[in-house]
Amino acid sequence: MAINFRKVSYSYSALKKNKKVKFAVSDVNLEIAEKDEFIAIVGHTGSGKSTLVQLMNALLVPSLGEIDILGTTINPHAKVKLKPIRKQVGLVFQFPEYQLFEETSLKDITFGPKNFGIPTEEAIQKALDAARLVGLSDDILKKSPFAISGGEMRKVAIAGILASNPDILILDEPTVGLDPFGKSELLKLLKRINEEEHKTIIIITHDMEVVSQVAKRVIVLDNAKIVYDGDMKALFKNDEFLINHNLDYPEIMKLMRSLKERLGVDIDIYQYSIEEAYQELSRVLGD
Amino acid sequence: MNIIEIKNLNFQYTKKDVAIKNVSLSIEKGEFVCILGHNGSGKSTLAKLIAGLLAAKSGEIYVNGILINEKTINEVRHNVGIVFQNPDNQFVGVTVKDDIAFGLENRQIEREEMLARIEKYAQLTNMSDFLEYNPENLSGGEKQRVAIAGVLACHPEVIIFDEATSMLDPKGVREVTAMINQLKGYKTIISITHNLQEALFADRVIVMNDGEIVLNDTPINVFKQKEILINSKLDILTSMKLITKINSEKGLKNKAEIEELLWQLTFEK
Repeated sequence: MAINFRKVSYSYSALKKNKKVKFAVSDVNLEIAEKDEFIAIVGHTGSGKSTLVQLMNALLVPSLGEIDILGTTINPHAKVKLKPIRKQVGLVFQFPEYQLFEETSLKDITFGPKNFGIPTEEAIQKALDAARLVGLSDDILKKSPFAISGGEMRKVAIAGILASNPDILILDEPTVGLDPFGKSELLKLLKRINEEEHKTIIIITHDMEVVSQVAKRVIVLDNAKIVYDGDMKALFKNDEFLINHNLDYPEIMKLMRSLKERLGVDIDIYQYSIEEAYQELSRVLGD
Repeated sequence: MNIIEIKNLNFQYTKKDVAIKNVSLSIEKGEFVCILGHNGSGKSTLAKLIAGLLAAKSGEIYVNGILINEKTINEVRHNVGIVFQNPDNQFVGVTVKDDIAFGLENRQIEREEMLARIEKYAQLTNMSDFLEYNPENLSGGEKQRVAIAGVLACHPEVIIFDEATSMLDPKGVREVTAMINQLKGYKTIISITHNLQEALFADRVIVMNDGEIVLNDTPINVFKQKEILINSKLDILTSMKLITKINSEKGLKNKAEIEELLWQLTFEK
């Protein structure tokens, strides 16, 4: 396994004997493969999602327990170099466009690989490759990152991480604040990176449309603990669990449920796309 | 009566890009209007022009019968309140109470009246228990409720929500959407949003694309305009996607009946 959490807890304040501390992430066991996974992490604000992903790329070191990340073991006492891990596991923060700063978009993308010690010329080549992968035109690469649209700015920020060629890509709420077009473009891009480059992708999201469209596996956090880790489709079939954790259904499923009630026919409401929903409707209501 | 009357409005940030192209629009007092459009379509620019935060290149905007110009700008700003997208960028006070007071102090409202208004609007937005809190320690939804209380306390005729829910988690979205719905009918509301579900319950939906108004109608009539919505780089409703699929295939018998039912279900809640 590429990433392996063993009984990991993290607290933002130092642990002291005989004193109770609040853990942001508590007693987490987790295994993530290096290739082909597409994981969505969901949970309410303050449930520990951002802390969890920062542990995955060694921005945070566990307070208790152990994490293997691509062959390196990290625990509260181990003295290991963390910078190479941050290159191997790329993390795109929330609103990454706020962190753009260079004169041109290309320079901004190049900053990532240069920061990890790659020589300038090679870094530029990697930046151009990453820009092509996310679909940024040459015109935009020449422009200031402050003179392009919000969706394009976010692509620049993501290209900056991809240019370092991470093995695993993590994105914290990548679709928030984008318009529907920017959102669907970004999801297509992530799907393509996952399917064609076989990279494992992990996203934090609140949006169940995003979850149902791209995720294969879902991790639900509640109050610092993992309360669900499994198949995406199985999650949405677990009504009781969703209600208990105040999670929503994808729109298409809500629609199928209403249709079933109103038409009084026995349709399987657990459909995850328009295509699947149509097939089910035509199975029951067709000729 | 039209609380907002816009005639042949034009605006540009730079010489090259025209942000608002010849827009004319009327909004009635008490109406709840949603403006949809992709990033860069001109919807936020339009909102800032109505609020007097930007000056028109040409054309006229009347708010409550008053033409916006240099002389009337302060009066107009008192009549239009804005709640912005980012809950973290709109706080000035060290406590929730100070923050709600800020706009009132600017308007030189007397102290007694000020305290009464703070209490009233904190209560209305369910923030009474948080008056002594530092806004930084609140959740996104709570922060937006404080911002709404601050705007309401100034008694504007028109309130503009500029993507006020787009940075919130689902609980925050529910809180703020409920708040907006509560104001429906009491205030004139202009809500700029990407959230189609929110637009379903507006009196009217306006779609902007490249600085122009391309649709201006009831929610159901707007959401039936699939081609225009897609050309405007907007999403279409899940029910519309399913209807389109059903109509493009031959598999179903009672297509019309199911289409009708899907529309009904979309506007029920």
